[in-house]
Amino acid sequence: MTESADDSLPLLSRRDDTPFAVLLSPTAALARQAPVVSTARFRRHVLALAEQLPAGEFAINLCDSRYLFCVAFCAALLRGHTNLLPPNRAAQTLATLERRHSCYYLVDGEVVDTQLPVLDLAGFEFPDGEAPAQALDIPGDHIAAECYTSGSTGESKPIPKRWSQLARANAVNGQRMLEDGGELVFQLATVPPQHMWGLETSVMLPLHHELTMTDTRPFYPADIVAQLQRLPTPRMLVSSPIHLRALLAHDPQTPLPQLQRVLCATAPLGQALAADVEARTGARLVEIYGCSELGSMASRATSETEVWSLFPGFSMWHDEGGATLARAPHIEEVAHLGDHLELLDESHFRLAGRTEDLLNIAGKRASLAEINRVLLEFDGIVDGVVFAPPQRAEQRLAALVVFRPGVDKSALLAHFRGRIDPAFIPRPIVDVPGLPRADSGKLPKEAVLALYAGRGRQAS
Amino acid sequence: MVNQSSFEQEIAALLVEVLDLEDVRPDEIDPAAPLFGEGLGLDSIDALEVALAISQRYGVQMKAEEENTQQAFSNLQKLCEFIDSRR
Repeated sequence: MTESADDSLPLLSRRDDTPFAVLLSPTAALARQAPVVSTARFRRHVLALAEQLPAGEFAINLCDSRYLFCVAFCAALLRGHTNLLPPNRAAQTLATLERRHSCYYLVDGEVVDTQLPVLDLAGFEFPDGEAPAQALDIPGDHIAAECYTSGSTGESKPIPKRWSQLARANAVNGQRMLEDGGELVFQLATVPPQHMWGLETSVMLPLHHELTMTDTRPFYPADIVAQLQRLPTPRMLVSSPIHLRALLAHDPQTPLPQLQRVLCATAPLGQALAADVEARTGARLVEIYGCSELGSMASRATSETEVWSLFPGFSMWHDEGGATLARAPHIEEVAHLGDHLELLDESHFRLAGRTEDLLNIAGKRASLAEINRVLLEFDGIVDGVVFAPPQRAEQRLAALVVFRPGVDKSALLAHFRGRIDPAFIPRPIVDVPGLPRADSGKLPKEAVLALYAGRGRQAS
Repeated sequence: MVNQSSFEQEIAALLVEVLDLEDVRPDEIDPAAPLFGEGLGLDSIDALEVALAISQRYGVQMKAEEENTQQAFSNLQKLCEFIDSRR
């Protein structure tokens, strides 16, 4: 559906006197204010920042503090700017974004090597006190943000998100992700706000629902536990399988903080792990299925069922080649899903594995073909291939590489580091005298795996 | 072969085992070389794995909020000092 410019939707829609955010790790300026930020004070911060933003059209929003990210995100919207949300901080990723005209950076303490204007919110003097009640409307057709599917760089395609799409998805997400009854819940999230999963749950949800966000992004289990303990109840944790697994392995003797709800996404979570999370935290665990193009689109209570229930208005179907396509009620474009899905009826499905090319490592997605392209761009090699070896506990890629004389692995690693997310850098990189290419030039998968199994010694 | 203390040898072996660094030998890890980025090229998933292994084997918790944790991952020597001072 096409929005006309008159179709404005509110930036904020929640009670003014409820806590919008709890600041566990405030900047110096914010530390002089109360750590619990009401909706009205949040609005004051947004309005103050909006006045001071650089001129431009695109805000590369790198803020690590979820609160400052959200203030920056909203301030940019008020000024009619678009938030660019890079999937990683690799130099080439940022260089690609900088090619957009009229960009500037919003950071909180990070030093960026750039010629563009940089506004560092770590030093921004946010005014204290509450802004008077005021409707802040954003045109529905405004491109609020651009997300990127790929964990690797170069040709990764921006996914524009209109404000109407984010706001409408937010209403459905509220119904499916939050408890009924509208009780205020305090949320901690381990996922970055720049990724679609983090953006939808930890930035968008609080704008239109009675949910209190937290500024941090804890990583180590001990930090997750300590920060949850500092939040009032009821509490919600937004996370991913990798963080939940670490949390459970943390210290089986120590009781975990009690939670009302855990939301998990980015990679499939096992039923046993889900049941374990519920048993240890008292939470109801809801797993969400989604993609960057459409956002969250289905959920399941993983401890009880492997069947996913589509969100209202979404549809899925197979094309003639067997690929799964999906459509959201608020987005015209059809998305190609990287998963093989078994469609049970019009609103239920099962996951039946991923297609070969698409990778999902630690919640980051990338195309294997694209990573191979990055490998072959390196002029210090004669030939090479990156592949996903089967049966490795923590999924990592591996590479077989034929180096030019005098070139070693460290130069190739430096090449990768500037271009792709560390999660996708192959390990090990095996130095081989040649690749088992067929006469056609094709590289049979079995031969690659056999060579890899012998770690570079040509299989007989 | 670089010069490692016996505890550095132990932790180097743990890193190689936990992270599946099959193209690195424990005795090749320079105690002063960075673990992340340009050194061993470890990333944040690795940090999580290492933190778990250290808490399980030595009962030492890594917490990002403590300044020392950031330093602990700077190199093998600092990581060993961090664990040794807390176990």
